[in-house]
Amino acid sequence: MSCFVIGVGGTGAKCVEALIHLCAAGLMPDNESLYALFVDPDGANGNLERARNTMSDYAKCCEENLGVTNLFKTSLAIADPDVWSPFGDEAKPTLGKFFHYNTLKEENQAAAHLFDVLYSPEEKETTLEKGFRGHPSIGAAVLASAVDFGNQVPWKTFRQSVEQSIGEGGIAKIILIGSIFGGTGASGLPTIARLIRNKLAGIQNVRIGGILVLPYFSFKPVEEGGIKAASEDFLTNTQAALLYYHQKATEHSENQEMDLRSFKTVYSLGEAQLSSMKTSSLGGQSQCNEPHFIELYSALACLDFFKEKDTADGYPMLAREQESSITWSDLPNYEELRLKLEQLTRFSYAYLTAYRPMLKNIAEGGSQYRAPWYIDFFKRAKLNLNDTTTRDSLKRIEDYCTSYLQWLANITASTKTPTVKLVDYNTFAERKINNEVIAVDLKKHGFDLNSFDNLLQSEKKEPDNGLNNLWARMCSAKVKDPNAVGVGRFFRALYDECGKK
Amino acid sequence: MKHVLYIVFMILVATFFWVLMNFFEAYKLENNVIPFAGLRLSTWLENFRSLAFLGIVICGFLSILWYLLGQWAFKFNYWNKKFRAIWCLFLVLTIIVTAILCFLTINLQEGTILVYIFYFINNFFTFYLGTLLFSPASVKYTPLGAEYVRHW
Repeated sequence: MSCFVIGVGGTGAKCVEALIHLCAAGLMPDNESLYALFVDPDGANGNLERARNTMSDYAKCCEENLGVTNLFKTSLAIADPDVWSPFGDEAKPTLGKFFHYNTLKEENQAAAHLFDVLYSPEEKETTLEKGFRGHPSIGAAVLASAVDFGNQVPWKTFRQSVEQSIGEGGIAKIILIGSIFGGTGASGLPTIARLIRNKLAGIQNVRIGGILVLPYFSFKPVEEGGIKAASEDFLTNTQAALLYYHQKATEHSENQEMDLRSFKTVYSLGEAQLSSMKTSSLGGQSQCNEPHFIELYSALACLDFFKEKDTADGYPMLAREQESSITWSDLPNYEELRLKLEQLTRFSYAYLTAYRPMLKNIAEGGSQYRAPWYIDFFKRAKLNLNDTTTRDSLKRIEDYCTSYLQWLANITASTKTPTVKLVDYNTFAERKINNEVIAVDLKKHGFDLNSFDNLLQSEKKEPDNGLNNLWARMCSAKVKDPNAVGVGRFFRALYDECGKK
Repeated sequence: MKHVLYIVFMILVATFFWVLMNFFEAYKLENNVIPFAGLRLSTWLENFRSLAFLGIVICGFLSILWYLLGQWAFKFNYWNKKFRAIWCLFLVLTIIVTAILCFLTINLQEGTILVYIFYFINNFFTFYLGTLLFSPASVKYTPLGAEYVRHW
């Protein structure tokens, strides 16, 4: 285990979600595994829940005995618990309760007065179960006090995993992702990085990277009262955060605890045109924003960090060719990226539109006609579609493919300007009815069957016979990899054939 | 290349039955049929050979047509189409062809049943064996029994 990702806050969770999809496509370096952990006081956050579900689906798919292939090749270890909150199980935590303010007032008045100077009464008394309300000053204090690598899960197992990775002679690459304009990410990124660096001080083979996500979305003001994040403050918050990072990165300090040069590599990502999110929410399940292409870039930044053998100090930079659009060539390492994402997209598309429906029909006692691939991979292999193991495997892959195509469609539809020209999502998804906000759902009544070969072309194209040709290839497909077993042979054959045109 | 090969094999199946008809069936019939008075046996055999050959050609053509449809015409995007019904229809056509040949064959005093049996064997199995063994991949298990026989 040598790659570690910590998603801090809602944006961090969405970026980890994107990274998981890239792992599914086989874009992680070979022979690397990934350890993932979320940090969020708002455990019910909708963005976080989606990321957790994706991660869980992915982890289950990794058990499918596909053999040696790019599909789900990276093994994933999910922290236990997968989401760490500094407040534990506290239902209505407040800053005052966390620091025992009432006790402090009686026992240490000077400290209590300092507390009063640093935090307003509202900040001390607002409940924080939905996050730090866009106030990184609250988050930084809480997180710095709460993280314990000695005895507290999942930090203890995180530390042990890192030490084990180094002990095996590898380099532990730890990357933290979060926004710097909100609450949790802005407070968590520098704080947790510093804590990790200090805990592992003296150990050579540790690299810590940071992905600082700058503003890329906006939302309407939240109606609830009290302290809360506001998108009109994002740019000011970002400016302050970046000045802070710059200051701390360049100042010299003899006090290592205060030395914030924790990141070996920093990636800053943002978008000038802010996308309008469909929901305005303090937090909780209703805070579920659609995936955005910036999260794809963040995930690619993770891959860049994980791939570098000797990560150098510095600030890698990236820009797109046209201001008004994003195409494949604007993405780093786009040739490999496009190839592997295309294969995964074709696999998901074909499975959901042609193969899974037929298998369901057969399981329900449908038509007596059987496709040759069904005879070869199921009937002759004596796999019963109604057997629990087989049924669960088929469902797992279906769940993952659905979440992948949903994610892909949404990052392509995430903005009107710039237009994202990565995939023709209209073949398998449709816009939700909302003139203001772009969001897509998978089509309920069948995908467009004549656009299989050119799924990753966004411009108008001629109808093609791709699905038909795939079907013919599947009917002759053979899987020679002895490690592909059971239903895994079928998935492997379908994935391999989707890599051909 | 594979398509050409498979079609050639189908032609070879038809050829096999043509050889069978010419050298085995005709010999058998020579010793087992009696034409009506006034009709020479050689004339009747010539009639039989012509009609049997026509039947084999038609059924061979049907098997090649099945291949062409299965490879290039059938759309598998819509997987619930009943391709087996189409194959069965072709099989029924071979029986219809056999019936027509029986009708067109000059009547015999004795041995008619054997003639009909030979027509049936030639026509039916030219199509059945050709498609059983050499259907294109997408429909390779469509012919009845193919999933137990075909492993390529």
